[in-house]
Amino acid sequence: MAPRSLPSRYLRALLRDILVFLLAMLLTVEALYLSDKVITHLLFDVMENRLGLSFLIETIILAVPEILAVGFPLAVLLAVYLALIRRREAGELVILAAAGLAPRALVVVALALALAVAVIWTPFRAFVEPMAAQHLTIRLVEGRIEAISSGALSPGRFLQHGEVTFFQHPETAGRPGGVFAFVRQISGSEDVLTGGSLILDYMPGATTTDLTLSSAQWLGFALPESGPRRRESHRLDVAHLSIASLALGSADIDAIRRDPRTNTLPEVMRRWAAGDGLAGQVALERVLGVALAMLSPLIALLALAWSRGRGTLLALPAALGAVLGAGMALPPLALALLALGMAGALGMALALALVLIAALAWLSARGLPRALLPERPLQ
Amino acid sequence: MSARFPLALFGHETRYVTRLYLLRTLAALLVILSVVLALDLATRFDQVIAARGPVEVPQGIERLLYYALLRAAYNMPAILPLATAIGIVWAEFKLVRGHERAMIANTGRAPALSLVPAVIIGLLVGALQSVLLADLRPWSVEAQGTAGFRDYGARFTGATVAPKWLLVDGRILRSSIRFAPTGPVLTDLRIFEFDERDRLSQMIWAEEGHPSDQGLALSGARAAWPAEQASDRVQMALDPDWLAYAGVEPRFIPRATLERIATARGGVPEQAAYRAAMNDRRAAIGMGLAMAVAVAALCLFTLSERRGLATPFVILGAAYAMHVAQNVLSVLGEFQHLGPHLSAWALPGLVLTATAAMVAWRAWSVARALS
Repeated sequence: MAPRSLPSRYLRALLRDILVFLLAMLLTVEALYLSDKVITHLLFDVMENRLGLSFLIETIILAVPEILAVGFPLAVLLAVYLALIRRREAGELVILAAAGLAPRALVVVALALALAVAVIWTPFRAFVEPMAAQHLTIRLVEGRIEAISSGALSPGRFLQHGEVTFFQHPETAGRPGGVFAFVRQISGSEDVLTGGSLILDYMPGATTTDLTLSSAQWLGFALPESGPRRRESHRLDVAHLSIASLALGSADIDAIRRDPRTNTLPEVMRRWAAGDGLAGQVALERVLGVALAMLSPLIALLALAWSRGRGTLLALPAALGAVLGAGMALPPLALALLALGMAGALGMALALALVLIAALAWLSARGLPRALLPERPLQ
Repeated sequence: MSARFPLALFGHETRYVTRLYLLRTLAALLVILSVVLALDLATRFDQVIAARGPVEVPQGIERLLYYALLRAAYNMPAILPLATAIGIVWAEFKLVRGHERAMIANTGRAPALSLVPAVIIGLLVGALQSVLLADLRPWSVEAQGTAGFRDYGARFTGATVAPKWLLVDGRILRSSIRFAPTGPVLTDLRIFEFDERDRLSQMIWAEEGHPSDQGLALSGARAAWPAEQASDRVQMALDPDWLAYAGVEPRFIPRATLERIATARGGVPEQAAYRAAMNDRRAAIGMGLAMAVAVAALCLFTLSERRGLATPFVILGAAYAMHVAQNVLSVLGEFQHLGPHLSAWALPGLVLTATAAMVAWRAWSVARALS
C-alpha cells in the first residue's frame, strides 16, 4: 500500500533542514539589523552618557525581538522554500511521488508548520516583543539619567532630561571641569546651578529627584511680565547643596508604560474592551501578524509550485513581496477592522486567516503535481 | 624568444576578472538598491505624493522618479561597500566552480598577481564612495529637504531649529536658530559666561542675535545679569559655515563647507564630529581598497570546488563585520575616544597589512613546498 504521508525519517530530515535554514535566516536578519542599530543608535547612547559595555550588551539583547515582527514570517518563508526546492532539485520529490506519495502530503506538512508557527509566534508577539520593547525604551531613558546619577557626565556634552539640562565643562590644565545645571520651572522662572560635582538620587520613572552639589552656587531668576527681562530672585553660595524633590518635569517612563505598543496582549485587550481604540489597533495588528506568519509556509509551498519555467526566477521574489506587502498592509487593515467592534474585528481577522489558509492550501495542492520534477536536469 | 615584462599586471586575467568584478558589483548594487527603493517608496508613498517644500516638484510619475533618484543617491554609500564584497565573492565563486581559477594557477601565474583586479576595483569603488559621501549624498539631502520629502534640518525649509545648547569658546549658549532669507538668526537667546572656577559670572537674555564678523549683535528686548542692561553686542565668533548648516548632521554637509567647519580655529560646537566626518570621507578610498583586496584574497585562498556555500557566506560576513567595525571606529572618533585620523584610517591600514601578510605567507609556504 502506498504511503499517505511522508516517511517519518524523511520528515525529520526535512524539518531539520527547515530549522537550520530558519536559524540561519534569523541570525542573518538579526546580525544586519542589530549591527545597524548599534552604529546608528545604541553606541551613540552609550558614548553620550558614558555607559559601559554591559549597558550596550543589555540593550542589544532587548533590541533582538524588534525586527522579528517583520523578519520572522520572511525567514519562515525562505526556510521552507529553500529546504523544499533543494530536495526537489535533488529529484527527491519525484521519487517520493513515484513511490505513491501524493503531493498533498507536502500541503499537510505546510499546515502542520503553520500550526507550529502559531504556537511559537503567539506568545512571542503577545508577551516577549512588547515586554522587550518596554524594557529597552525604559533602559534608554534610565541610561540618560545614570550618567548624572553616578556623577559621570560626559565633559563638553549637554544632557537634557525633562526641564533640566546638565553639562560638565571640559577639563582645563588638569583641573576637572565644573558642573552646570539649568532648570526651567513650569512657572517660567529659571534656576542656574554651578558646582564642583553633582549627584542625583533618582528613581526611574519619578518626576522629581534629590540633587546634591558640592561647592555650589544657586541663582534663581524670576519670571518677567513680558519680554526676556529677568531679575535675580535668590542666590546661594554654599560648600554643599542638597535639594530634595527637584522637579524634573518629565513623565517619560510613565508615557512609555502607557504606550499600547509596549503592553502585552492581555493588557491591550483589556484596554480595548475599555474603549481604547489605539490599543485595539495594536491588538489587531498582533493577531494579524501571527496569522501572516502562519501563512508563510503555505506561501512558500505555492512559490515552489510556481517555480517552473518562466516563473523559476520570479516565484521567490513574488512570495517575499507578498509577505512584505501583507506586513505593510497590517496597520491599515487593523484600523479598518476596528470599526467592527471587538468581537466583530477578532472574528473577521480569524475568518480572514482561515479563508486565506484554505485558499493557499488548495492552490498549492493543485499546483504541486506539475512542479515535482527538478527544473534542472539531474546530474 | 621575446623578453617581455614577466608580471603582466594588466594582462588577460586582469582585464577579464576586473570586468567580472565590475559587472557583478554593478548587478549586486542594482538588486540591493531596487529592493531598498521599493521598500522606501512602499512605506512612504503617501508622504512623497503629499510633500510640500520651498522648491516645487512636479506631480505624478515624475515626482516618484525624482524621489527614487534622490533616495538612490542617498542610499548608495551604504550599499556600495557591501555590493563590492558580494560582486567579488560572486565572481570568484563562478571562477572556482568553472575551474577557471585552477586553469589560471596551472599557467604558473603568481597568486598575488590575481589580486591586481581587486586593487583596481578597490581604488575605483573607493574613489566613487568618496565622491558619493562628499558630493552626491549632500546634494541628495539638500534636494530632499527643499522638496519636503524628508526633514534633514531646518536650513532646507527655512524653518526654525528647536532650542539648542551650544558650547562656543568656553561660553554656553541656548538658542533657537531661524533661517531667515537674510541669513541665520539666533532667537530666544541665553548666553552663560563663567569664571575660572566654572561659576556663572554673566548671563544674557535677548530676543534675537545676529552673528557677524564683529560678534553677535543683540536686538529686541534684552537683559543681563549682574548688569541691568545688556550691551547690544557680544564678542562671540560663531563660525558662519557652521551656523549656515546648524541642525544638519556633519555627514550631510557638502565637501568644501565641511572641510572649512572641521578646520575652523573656533566658533564650532562639537567640532570633533565634523573632523570625524571629514576624515571618514577621505578614508573611503582606503576602505574601498582594503575591502576589495581582503575579500578577493580570502576568496583566492579559501574557495574551492569541493566546498559548499558556507565559505562564501563566511567571507561576506567578514566583509560586513569590516563595514560595521569602520562605523564603530567612526563613532569612537566622533566622541574623541580616538583621534580623527586614527578612527578613519586604522581599520583600512590594519586590513591591508593583514592581507599583505597573508599573501606573503601564502607565497612563502608555496615556495617552500616546491623547493
